[in-house]
Amino acid sequence: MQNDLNKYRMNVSRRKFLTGAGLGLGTIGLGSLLVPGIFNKGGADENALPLGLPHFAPKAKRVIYLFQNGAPSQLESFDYKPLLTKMQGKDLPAEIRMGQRLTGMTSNYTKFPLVGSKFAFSQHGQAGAWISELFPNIAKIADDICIVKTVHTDAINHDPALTFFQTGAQQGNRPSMGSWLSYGLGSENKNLPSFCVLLSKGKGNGQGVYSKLWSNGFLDSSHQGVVFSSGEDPVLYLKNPDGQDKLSRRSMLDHIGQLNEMAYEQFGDPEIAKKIQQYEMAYRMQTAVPELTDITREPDHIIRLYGADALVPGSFAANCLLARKLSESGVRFVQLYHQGWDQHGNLVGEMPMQAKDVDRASAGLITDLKQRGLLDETLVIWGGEFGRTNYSQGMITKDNYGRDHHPRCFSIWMAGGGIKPGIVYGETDEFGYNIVKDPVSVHDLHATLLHLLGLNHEQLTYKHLGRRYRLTDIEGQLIEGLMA
Amino acid sequence: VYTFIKRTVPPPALLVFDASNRDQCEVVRSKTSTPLQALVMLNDPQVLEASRVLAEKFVADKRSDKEKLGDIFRLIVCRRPDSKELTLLENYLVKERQEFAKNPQRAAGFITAGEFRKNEILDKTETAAYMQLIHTIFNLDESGNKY
Repeated sequence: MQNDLNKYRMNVSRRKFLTGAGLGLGTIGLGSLLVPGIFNKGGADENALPLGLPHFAPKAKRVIYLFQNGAPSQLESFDYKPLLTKMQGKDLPAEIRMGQRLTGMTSNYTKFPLVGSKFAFSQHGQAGAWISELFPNIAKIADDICIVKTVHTDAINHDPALTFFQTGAQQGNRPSMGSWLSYGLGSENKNLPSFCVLLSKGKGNGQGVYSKLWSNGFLDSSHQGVVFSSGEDPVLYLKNPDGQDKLSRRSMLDHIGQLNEMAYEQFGDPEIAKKIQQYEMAYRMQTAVPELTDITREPDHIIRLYGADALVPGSFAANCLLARKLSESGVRFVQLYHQGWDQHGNLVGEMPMQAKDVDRASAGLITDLKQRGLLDETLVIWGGEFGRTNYSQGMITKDNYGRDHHPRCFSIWMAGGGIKPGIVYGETDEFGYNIVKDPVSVHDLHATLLHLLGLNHEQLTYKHLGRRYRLTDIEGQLIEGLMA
Repeated sequence: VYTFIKRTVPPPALLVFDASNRDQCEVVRSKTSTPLQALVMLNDPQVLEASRVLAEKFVADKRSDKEKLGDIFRLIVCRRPDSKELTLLENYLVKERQEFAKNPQRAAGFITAGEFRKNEILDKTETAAYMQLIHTIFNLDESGNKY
């Protein structure tokens, strides 16, 4: 009953706000930008911090997450294990495996033949980071990035692992990282969504991505990720139809707004107010997005930085360039997914193609951000949802092998936004199977990420179904060693 | 309404409304509200064509604006507009009629939407004005959500 009364009260004040806003509906956006929680149905918590303001001074303002979907092998990228080559074909000792559960694909195996990287490693940068020959451009920026070799996760299959990484829970229905940030920090640019998603596909064995990964979960729907299309036009239907111009559109939107307000008075559904906001955002995007996505204005030396693929719409390189432009324009969280990293077999055939797709553009993005002075305030993360086993799935042939899913340790790298540059963090054992020093859980990573953005992960909460939820659920430790 | 679905390239407008990408079964469609959905409703030729064809039907109808707008609203929203809503729509129609009369080129361009055969005898200004009103009503929250 009290809750219903509160809801009604919230709605009354919001209606006043809507009416007061009159035709200048843009101010509605401003209101929720200052206090995004103000209209939340049932989630109003008077003790909550005024959201839209960080808890303390942030190091990073924005995030670009280059998600390598399918889980690239750490053993062919950033975690050099010569012992595996020496012990090629020998069985993984049981005392190393320690009863680690297996996926359905290898659970009937009686032998686990170790296999070393087919690709050569060499050391790079001041920390002497071992990086494989598959990533020559990332190797060149070794001093700008922080390689974390000891990330571990709870999940062993793609969908739960991916969902866990994005939302802090394996089951789905929770808000995605980008939604939490949009909720916690609001928007920097009222003409663009604060959480954008860009998808690309490599030629390797792929795994799907689903809208639940960028879902707002129980948060307000204005925080959900907006997926750009992978085609020629990243946002569809931006152009006004024949016979419509900015003025006639403005008038149309004002009339839609007024009629929606009348409907709101009758039904009281807060989603109607959201709809008004989304229409206003669409109207502003019509002007903002074409400028932003027009890469013909990018000079040649920038295109070269990302590689020729930057001119191919929907490629990872094009998405990296677009990500920089979105981020530069104030989009809080740009989430990329590059599919095709699931090398159960034919690793030697597929991994070079996948690496070629992303190596140059990933490094190009870091260099580009750096030369624009944006790297300091932009946190870039590169990595997959888990690692891959040190033993081969399927037969080891003269030229080929495969690797199954491995949750106990894997490598990611981060750069900019308050991350310590030029270091390698954590150590795994000689077998590349277990962590021996400085483990980093997914929750730890989330906590650290939020911290860099000026948010205390224990205070960024939202009350839903009777309890307060966090991105880090009930876990997460700051990893001081990663922070500059 | 029927549309072709290619296995690997689902219709983009439907994807914007979270249609399944058909690589896995989807038990429940998630509820979303994004600016991209607004863009589809505002600029997709399919919505414009529907508005144009419905407009042609009502321009040929010789009853008063009030009666016609009431019927249009009911066809799309499934209830009659109240007097406040009807007044707003009537005023908007008058305004749009004037605007399109001042700018016949704009009117002629607007009513080219879609492939459905055009009714060439009708007054272009009148068709464009009604089309504008119908397109507006299609874009109301209540036209897509039922209470």
